[in-house]
Amino acid sequence: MISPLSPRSAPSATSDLSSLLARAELGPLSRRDLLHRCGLGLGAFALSYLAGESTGRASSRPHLDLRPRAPQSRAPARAMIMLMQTGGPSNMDLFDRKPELERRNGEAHGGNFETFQQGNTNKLLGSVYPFRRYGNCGMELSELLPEIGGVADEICLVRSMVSDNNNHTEAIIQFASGKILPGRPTLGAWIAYGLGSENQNLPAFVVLRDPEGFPTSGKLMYQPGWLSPIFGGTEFNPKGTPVQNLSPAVPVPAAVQRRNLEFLAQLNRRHQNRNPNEAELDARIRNYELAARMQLEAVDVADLSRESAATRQLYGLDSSNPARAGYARRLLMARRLVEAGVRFVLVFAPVRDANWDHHGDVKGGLAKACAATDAPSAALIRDLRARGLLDSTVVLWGGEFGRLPITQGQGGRDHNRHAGAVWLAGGGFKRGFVYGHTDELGYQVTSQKMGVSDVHATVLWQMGLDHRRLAFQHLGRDETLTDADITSATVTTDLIN
Amino acid sequence: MFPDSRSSNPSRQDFQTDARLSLRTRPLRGFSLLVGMMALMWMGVGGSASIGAGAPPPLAPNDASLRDHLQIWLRADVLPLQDGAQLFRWPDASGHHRDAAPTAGVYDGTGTPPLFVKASSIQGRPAVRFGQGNGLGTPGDRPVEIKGDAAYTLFVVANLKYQDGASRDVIVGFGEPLDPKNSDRPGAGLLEIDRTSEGRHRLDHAGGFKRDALVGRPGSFASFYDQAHLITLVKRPGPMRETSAIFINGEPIDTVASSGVQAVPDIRPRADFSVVLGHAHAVMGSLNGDIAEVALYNAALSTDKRQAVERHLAERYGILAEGPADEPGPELVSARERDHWAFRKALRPEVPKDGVSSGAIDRFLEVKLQESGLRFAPEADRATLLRRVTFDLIGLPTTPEELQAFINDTASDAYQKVVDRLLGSPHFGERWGRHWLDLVGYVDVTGNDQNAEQIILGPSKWRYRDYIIRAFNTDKPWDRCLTEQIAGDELKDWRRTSHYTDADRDLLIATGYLRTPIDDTHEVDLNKVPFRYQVVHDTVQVVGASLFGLTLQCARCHDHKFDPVPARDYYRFMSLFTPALNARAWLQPKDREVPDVSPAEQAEIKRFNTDLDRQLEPLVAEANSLRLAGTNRVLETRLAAIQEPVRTELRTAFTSPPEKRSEAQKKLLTEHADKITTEDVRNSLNEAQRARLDSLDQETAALRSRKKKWGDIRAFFESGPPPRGHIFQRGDHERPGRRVEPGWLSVLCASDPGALLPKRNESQGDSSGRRLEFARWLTEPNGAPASLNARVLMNRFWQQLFGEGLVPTPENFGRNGQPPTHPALLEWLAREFIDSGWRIKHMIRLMVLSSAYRQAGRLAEVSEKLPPELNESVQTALTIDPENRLLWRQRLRRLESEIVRDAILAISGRLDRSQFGPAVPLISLPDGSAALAADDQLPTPTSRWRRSIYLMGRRNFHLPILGSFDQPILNTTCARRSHSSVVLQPLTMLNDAFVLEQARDFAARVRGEADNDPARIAVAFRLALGRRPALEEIEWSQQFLADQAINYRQANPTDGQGDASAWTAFCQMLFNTSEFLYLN
Repeated sequence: MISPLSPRSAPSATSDLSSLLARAELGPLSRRDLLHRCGLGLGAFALSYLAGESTGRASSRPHLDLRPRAPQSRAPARAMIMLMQTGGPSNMDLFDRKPELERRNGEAHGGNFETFQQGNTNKLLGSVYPFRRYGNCGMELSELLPEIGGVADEICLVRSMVSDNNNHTEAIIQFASGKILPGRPTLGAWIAYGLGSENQNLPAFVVLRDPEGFPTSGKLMYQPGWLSPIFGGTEFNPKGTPVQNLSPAVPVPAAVQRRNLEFLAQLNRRHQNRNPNEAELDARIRNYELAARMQLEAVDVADLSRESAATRQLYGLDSSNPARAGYARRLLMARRLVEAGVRFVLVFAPVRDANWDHHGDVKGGLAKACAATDAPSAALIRDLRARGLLDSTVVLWGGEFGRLPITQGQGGRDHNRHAGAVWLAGGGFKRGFVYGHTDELGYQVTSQKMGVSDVHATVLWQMGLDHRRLAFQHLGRDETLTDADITSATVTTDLIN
Repeated sequence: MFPDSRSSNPSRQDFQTDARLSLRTRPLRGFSLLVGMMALMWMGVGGSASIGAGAPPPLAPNDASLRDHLQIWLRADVLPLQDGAQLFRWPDASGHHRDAAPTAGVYDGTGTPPLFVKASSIQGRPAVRFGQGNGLGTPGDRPVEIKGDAAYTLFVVANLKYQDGASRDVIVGFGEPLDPKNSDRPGAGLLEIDRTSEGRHRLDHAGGFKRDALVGRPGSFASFYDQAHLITLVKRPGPMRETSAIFINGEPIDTVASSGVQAVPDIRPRADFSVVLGHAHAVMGSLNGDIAEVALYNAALSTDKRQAVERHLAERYGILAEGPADEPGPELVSARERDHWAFRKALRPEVPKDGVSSGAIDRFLEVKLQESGLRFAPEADRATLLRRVTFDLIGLPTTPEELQAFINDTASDAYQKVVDRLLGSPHFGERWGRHWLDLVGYVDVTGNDQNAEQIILGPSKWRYRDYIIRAFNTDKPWDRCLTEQIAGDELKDWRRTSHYTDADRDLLIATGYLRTPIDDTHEVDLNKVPFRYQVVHDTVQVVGASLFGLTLQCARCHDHKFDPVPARDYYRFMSLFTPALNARAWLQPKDREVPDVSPAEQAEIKRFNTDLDRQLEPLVAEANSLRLAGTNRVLETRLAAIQEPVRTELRTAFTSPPEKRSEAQKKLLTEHADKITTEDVRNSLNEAQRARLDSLDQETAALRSRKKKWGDIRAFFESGPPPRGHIFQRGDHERPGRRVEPGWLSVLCASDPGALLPKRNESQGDSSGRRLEFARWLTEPNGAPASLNARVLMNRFWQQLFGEGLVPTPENFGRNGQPPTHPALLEWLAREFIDSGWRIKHMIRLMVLSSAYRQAGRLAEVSEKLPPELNESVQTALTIDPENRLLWRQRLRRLESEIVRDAILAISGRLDRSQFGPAVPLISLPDGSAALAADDQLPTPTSRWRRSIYLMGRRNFHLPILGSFDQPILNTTCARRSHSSVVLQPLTMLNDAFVLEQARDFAARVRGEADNDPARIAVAFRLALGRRPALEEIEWSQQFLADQAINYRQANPTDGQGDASAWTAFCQMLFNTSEFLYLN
């Protein structure tokens, strides 16, 4: 096994040990236990394990924990929020103004467009809403995005994204994991693997999805693949109990729970003493401690009632539009999680009425989707900025592909993998910046093309990770997120300060 | 088909021409250097065998030998137009001046001009692009000389685009499709795409409306969209259906007779225009796509001539349907590569003579231990050993009775008896079958399972799971079992079997092995060629991983970087499966379900049921009339109590059928009338009527229960003639390269194996026999394939029993995997397995009877048991081999997810041990988690407590307790499960409803089995941990119970459940202990 990352030395033995001992009520090792181990001649083992140092051969093993790790290089960002707009937001209606397409609206077109579904016509469809210029930078965006327009000067807009597949499932999996095949680790998992977590009471990778349902590709978007399960995304429910099984299915009095854990620690310690030199058993005991801490902290971080009325207002938490209120809730929670030290938060756009997949009625569909997502997305940027978190947090907004310049059915648009738009903010990305060009109809990228893997390489870079060196050996191959030998992924330095 | 290159005499001249041609027309664009060089080698540059060596020369469409018959020849590459220009005249190159022009304005038609494109979708060559409304025609006053019952041949080079809407795309045609005078004789020859039903596009040779001659199978053309291809239509004189043939890329398409009139054609020219392309006339459907060349002859060209022209066109347009033939080029696998430890034939190594232990396994291990000055640890204590071997062999905890019996049994063979009992347990197959099911990626859903709420089950998939469990239980010899899984459908001519026995059914069920990969082609949007090929590639991956421990998929795009698997071998190997998984003649999953009874039996069952229906009919009628009379009586009584006019309205509402009732009527009914129950009706009848009705009901129920039905089998079988195999350049099916014949992996053959030529075998019926031949090759006891397969399986078993395989990378036996820690032992195990007749139980027995397996694992126990003078050796061992690679003690192993759940159920006493059958349904909860279906949706009330292997297996959505303990995400295969320790595990064990419920049941059981606390505590420990509690543990437990009873009483002073709750907490904490989760 190889590890491309040399883990930063973990907290010193003494501090880690003493903090462990200080948590005696949760059942850590007692001093006597440690001495007992030392008496068996295993003290060195136990100490080095507890100190987070691997021993002997194990030092060459890949990471199996969430302790924070130093990045491979100095980098501005330490956290990332991915606003996943599954469905395929329409690039030429929202981000990529096409005067020629608008001029030829309704005209027949003889060209061959790669379509996905049936029911496409050869009639060109110009943007269904007018564009406006926003911010000092004068970024052209749809009039449906006034709030995002309001933070245009923070945004780095990429209009030249391409994907490999026109089906949602494959394209989404690619957006999440670099390739269209299921089973590979996703971006969040790679980042958690590379950097660990800054908060040992919470998972490193948290997922906030619309409780109304799973988006296409569902859990595949946050699976750890063949990395350890600890790097996979943990779902936080935006309402009620934030984590599955965080609290007992049947309420248990606090005194009972405390005594339960005490008794359990008693039995487990005895078992561990009889099984010295088994690091796994120690990890398990520590997991019970983490579980106990998480029961407190996760509830805490998910408690939006502590937010000020102004903040609630900013995000639109109390909006009468349920899709908007729900999305706002997830975004506010995302900010709280990043603030608490969570490394990667994946937020999903609404899945029901306000989704982005507008095959039948792009006009009506966009109105709904933008009404639900515009203001909360902008609120997140403003809020992060106000708290001084924007510079250290990458925000990525985007879907799996764009849409076609021709009409499908009565007034819809079909999928288009040849051109799509995403935007980034914070984390050292350029502000008020527009990148990439498409042809006059917005069908194909003509310059500054960015593949999904280029985006991945670039955000990893901003987090101090080199996409070629962040590797894990799987089935005899050093696998990376971007697989640059095949995808030719590169860091797009044009986008970064 | 194209001429077989080996069957005729080559001339040196031809060969050189060919080689140049192929290089010119097929630039090696985008090749990696390696692939490019290989391609060059295969093409014969440098003097070795080459493309077309031996083939007759290709003929240009206007070759002198053909010119007399050539009627029209349109080629786009001579058009002197600018890119994108509208095409107003397409000159005829045949010399007959039958130039084609838009029919709108020029002729009496509606066709608008198509566009000329310089770099078309046909390999970037010039072509004419047709879209909606575009259509060309040649002058009516220069008709082609094809009349009456004529012969003709038509070649078209095109890349067509999918479209929907109208019912047909006319590609090229001539003659009068409408023939009002003689409606039953075809009047035209039209090559068209019939798209009358959604997604079922097919090529069609039509004689006119309702006079189709010949059509491809439904859906057969769908896969040719968006690819350059060459279509040939040949018609000889005589009835159209019998004398026509259509070829795509030189291969005949599988056709079905159309529903139209079968007749001898009477082709008549039209007055307005002659040959048409696309939407030339209002009745002709639009054509969508690029056409580069059309040639039409008034003769049915001989096969040789046809193939010669096809060859010419294919080469000119780079349509590599006919790649160069598969001929052994330079040896792609070297002798050194064949000598890799995994690829060699396993020879029986000599068992080391010296050693303390008696068994061969131990001797091999001891040699290495002794080299390091180490020795096995003493045997584990009985309770530990019994718990270990019971979980390992049947996946369930020991019972206190078993524990007592074992401790009391002082006979020297006490342990052997336990092992034999466990190997004989019906639960053995559930435990060990699962290991194999992991390796083949078995789940109950068919697709990629990406949507939590949408569960698409393979309705009969479970039968394969049951087959595997039974095979392990009966210890079916593994070579036989593999043969059935790979080629069960070729072991018996099941299509011609009049009566299926269970054994026959099993042969088909076993092929479920090849039906585990993700297949989403039931969705129209995903029933496309790339997705179909993905199924084929995944199948290769599952086979490669499960049989050979190799990652063959790397060779899909290029010669394997690490392992000696050339791309050629990959595609040869893939050709074993493509006759069943033919991307060009695809069967959707539902079409791969075959009835589990023969056609004769189906007919018999239908007859039998019809017979029953006939008997039922009068009885049902009589019962219905009695009920109707009763209903009316009840109704009248009720209506009598209601005032007019509501009464009449209500009566109307009542008597109209429910689906036709208006909203007002429905409202009325809910307001006024209580439902008339069957009981009401029955009570309204007099006694005699009632008795009659009851007896009728009984009789009909009895008859209905006698009705027979049959089930389905999700099988793997060939669905047509084998398609030609090709190497796909960079794995892209749209870039077929050199042709390949089915074959093996060269590295497992003594020398380059050449092509596989299956022996004909009675049993295989219509099947090609490729897989049966593969199974023979695989299981030949003295072959390298059997050795590799045996190594992979034995290593997998070893990993299961010792925590880590002798080869620590079970999924990779290639050069990048790790070598075995004990090579001789692995060889011995592989050889012993094969020589014992591939007996799995024999091998597992050997392993669990070894001292290595039986030794203690706990360091403390090891130290305690060793005499003081040897205590030093533990320290030595820890220093020399801290990771225990040499096996100086047993390894600590965590229970797998399913076993955690099964053990909880067994301990609580709830486990439903019933076996086999359809999966217990899971549902998706609103929060996205999975749960067992509600009680009334379960087959039986206790189904929710069945073993986990019988619960619905999904790829991505697991029950919380299973998911948190690493039930694998099964997209392809899983050779090794992870045993993570994540925070979701404690959260699940502390808080999940299932664990809480089972803890309650466990507590009730414990309290029922003894009447004082210490005894109960002992029972609980025995059940949960398989041992007696230590004295201190009893004290702690008593204290805990007392404390919790108080805590509960303080929290709920009135419910009187303090003690019960305390016991539940106690039992739940036992489930939470590390000891419960680990084998020692």
